[in-house]
Amino acid sequence: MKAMLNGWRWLRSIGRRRELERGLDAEIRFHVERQTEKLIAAGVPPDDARRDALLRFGGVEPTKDAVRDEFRSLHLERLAREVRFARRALLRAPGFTAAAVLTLALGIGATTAMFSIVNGVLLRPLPYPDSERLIELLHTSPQVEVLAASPAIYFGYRDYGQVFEAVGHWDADGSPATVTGNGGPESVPSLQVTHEVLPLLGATPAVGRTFRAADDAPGATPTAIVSSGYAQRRFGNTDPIGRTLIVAGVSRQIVGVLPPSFRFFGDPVDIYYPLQPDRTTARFPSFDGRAVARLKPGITLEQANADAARLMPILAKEFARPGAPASGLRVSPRLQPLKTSVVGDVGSTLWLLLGTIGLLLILACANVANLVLVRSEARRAELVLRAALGAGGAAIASVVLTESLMVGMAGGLAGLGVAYASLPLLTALGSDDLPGIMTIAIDRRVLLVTIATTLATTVVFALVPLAHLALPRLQLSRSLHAGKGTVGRRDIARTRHALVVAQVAVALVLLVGAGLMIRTFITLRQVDPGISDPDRVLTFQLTLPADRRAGDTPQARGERELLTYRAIADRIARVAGVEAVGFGGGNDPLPLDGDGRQVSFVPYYDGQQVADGLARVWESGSVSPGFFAALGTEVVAGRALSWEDVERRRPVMLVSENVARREWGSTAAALGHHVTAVPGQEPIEIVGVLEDVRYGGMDQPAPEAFARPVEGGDEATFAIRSARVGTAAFLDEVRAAVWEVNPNLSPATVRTLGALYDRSMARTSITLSLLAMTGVMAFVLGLVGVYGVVAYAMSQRRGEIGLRLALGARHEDVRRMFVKRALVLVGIGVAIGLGAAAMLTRVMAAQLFGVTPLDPVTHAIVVVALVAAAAAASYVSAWRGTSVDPVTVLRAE
Amino acid sequence: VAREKDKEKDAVLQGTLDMLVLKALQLEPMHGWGITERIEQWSESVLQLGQGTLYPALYRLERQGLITSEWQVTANNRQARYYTLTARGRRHLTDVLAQWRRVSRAINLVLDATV
Repeated sequence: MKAMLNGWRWLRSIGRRRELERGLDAEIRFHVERQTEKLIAAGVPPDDARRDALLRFGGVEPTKDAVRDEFRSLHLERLAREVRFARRALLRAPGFTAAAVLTLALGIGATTAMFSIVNGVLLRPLPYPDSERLIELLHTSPQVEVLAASPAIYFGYRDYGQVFEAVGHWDADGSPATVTGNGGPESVPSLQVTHEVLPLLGATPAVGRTFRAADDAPGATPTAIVSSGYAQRRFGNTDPIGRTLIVAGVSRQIVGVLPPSFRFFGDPVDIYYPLQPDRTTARFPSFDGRAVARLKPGITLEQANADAARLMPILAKEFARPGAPASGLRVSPRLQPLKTSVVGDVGSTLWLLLGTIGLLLILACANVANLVLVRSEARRAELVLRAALGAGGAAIASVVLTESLMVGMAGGLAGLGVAYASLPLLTALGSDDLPGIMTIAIDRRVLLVTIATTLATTVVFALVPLAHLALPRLQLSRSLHAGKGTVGRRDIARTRHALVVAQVAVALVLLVGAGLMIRTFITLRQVDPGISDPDRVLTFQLTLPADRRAGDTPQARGERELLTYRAIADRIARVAGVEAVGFGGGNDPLPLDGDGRQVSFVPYYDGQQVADGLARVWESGSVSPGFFAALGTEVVAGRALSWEDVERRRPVMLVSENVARREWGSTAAALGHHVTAVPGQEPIEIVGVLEDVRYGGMDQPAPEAFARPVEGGDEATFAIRSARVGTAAFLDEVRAAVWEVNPNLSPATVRTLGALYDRSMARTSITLSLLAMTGVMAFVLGLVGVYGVVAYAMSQRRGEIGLRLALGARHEDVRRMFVKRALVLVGIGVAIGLGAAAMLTRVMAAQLFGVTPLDPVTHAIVVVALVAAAAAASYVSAWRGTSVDPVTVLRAE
Repeated sequence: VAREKDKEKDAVLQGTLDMLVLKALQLEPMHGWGITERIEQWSESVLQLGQGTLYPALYRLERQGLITSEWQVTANNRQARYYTLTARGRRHLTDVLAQWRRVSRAINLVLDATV
């Protein structure tokens, strides 16, 4: 009420200020005129009269200044005085000031940094024009949750869709292309796109032109558009337009250079070239690419999905495999905003982490409130004296409030510093998981949130001591009389108890969260990935330049390619320390690399269609002998593939254990069965069963999979097992081995299988480490709080303790009394914390694996550890409190 | 030279100016120039105000709620700011006058004492 009144006065005074300036001039003018008139009437000549009148007045400007000073002193001077006073008071208590500002800086800084990430990734729009109308064409089926797009889908949506303004399609194959020509061969990240893709994403070439529909026609002159960085590296300052690049053996003319600002999502693409999809060979269902579309204005996602659903039967009819039976895959559209595709499922993790940091901020706030409370208690005598000297409640409150505001502002500023310093570290930590295209920075929205956070925090910790100062004057004066100032102490103790309860509760929530993540991590580490010692497996990709010869058949070309790969594998096998080496066709045979190749078909076993008539979706691979040995994937029944299988193109395959068990009941029972996709096709015999491999990550079930002998192709991925993996010398020797076979080849995407494994665990380990760090901090703060409460209670009752001890009470009994009281508080905190954890850990469910949010073991361990540590802390505090000589204590009283 | 003289006068009037202003307003509302005239007149021109010093005092008194002000039309049909003593100002004036009389009487007693 009082504050409102003050605020009203202040507002009114601003209005008065303007009125003052206008009124004062008129008033002084009137005064001087009257004085002049008076002098003229007395016979003074007019000129002299005016001069004399001004002289008598004594300086117009100084008078105005003096009036303004009178006016100003009311508000500004009081504020300046209070700020000065607060600054002096804070500097006199450097320990308190440093602790409070530092705690706030950490809390606010961590919150700001985390919110910048949430803001940058989740709240900001994609940096593409009209990005809210961009969608990705995704599909789903009962068998496979997410299916992407293909040329058939591109043609269908483009030609028959009614709600799409433009549709673009690109090949999902993200492997680098080998560029040859002047200079040695190099692996360059490249992408095959239809001509709509770049305009859809707002990429207008800085130089030259974008792709046209004519570039997409099969058989058109091969063209390419390059990134500005690549143009600079490759051609320096000369004009790249019209120059040719030999990309994967095809000579392409550069028609455009993109501006440096353009980024194709997070991928570092340097060369774009037309996909030239062929309508006559496009098939549906088939999903080997990705597609984006821009909706017409005003079209909702539901309308778009409805239109797409209408297209499904049209696609199935037009792009059916000639002569093949229906695929059995019931595909329905699941279009989603492009932003959702880019961000993926990282959103829930980010919100979870922001929530965690928010709890930490609450804890920091409680801690500072505690500090302020201790301080205002220490200053009680001073404040009581001020009150006695006539300072009103409002005046005293404003002293305390100004001090809190200054601490809050310093904490906010320092917190911003912490945020600026820690943001690069945080984004580096999450670089695998955060979409590279979204800019993460401290922008205006982040600053506003920081300011709001700082203000809210300040209000909370400033109100705690204020609540105690709002006692009636009478009590204050009585406490002055009493000298010891006992009035209000119980009140303060109650607030401190509440703070400890809050600290324990927050600590419990964070520790339960951390405990659940630790259990998740351990469970994930224990999952058998189907590969062994991934750190000892080196992998890289090779792309062979196109090698077309007169009278060539695809088969002859495949055999030549196979010879090259085999020669390289044989040569690598002779590198010192290599235990196994093999290769798979394409760029996607590795587990955990983020992509794979799925085939779906209704299988025929030994000529009989499966009884349920449902399509099976299998992860397919074509591999060389030694590939699974290099990965450490064991053959659990039958035999591995041999070079004879490859050379003779034998119709054999390996299937995964889960296929064998589902279809035939056991691993051994699968051997010898024949599988076909279409009746009449050559039956393929199952000769071996592989252990299950977790292709999609430890938290995903192992997909059903099969592998066939490799058949060549212009791309292959090598896997090499050796104890020497990770040394520079080993990598050099492997490179030399490749070059010995063909000096035009360049190993690309060189990494260990261990790096892929770690990346698949990255999100869990980041969440784990952040939760664990905040949990430990909360734990320590909670213990300090418990210790402090006991110490305070004992200091308040020193006389009583001394008396009890003097009367023969045992130290142990006295200590137990205080420990028991502290544990009551801890118990309340634990109860509240358990309730809060039950609600809050539910949002973690997506992050957990092999453990439920209400996991009793985790809860039990955390509760026992927390209570035991709190008991220890309060016992130590009580022990210190009673380790005094009762006589000394009583004398001091 | 004039300023030094002003200061001297200011010094004399420093504590008493507020009281004089209130006294001047006791009878009727007046504008600033009127107040200086009234004080000069009553003091038989002994107290010649540095007229500018009056205005800070007027603003101070108004802020303290002892006087209020209002723009009015003078007899010569001109706009002037008239100051009026409030009830609180009246009480305040009575208090300070009583105190002044006590003190000045005491001072006079001391000065008139025969040695």
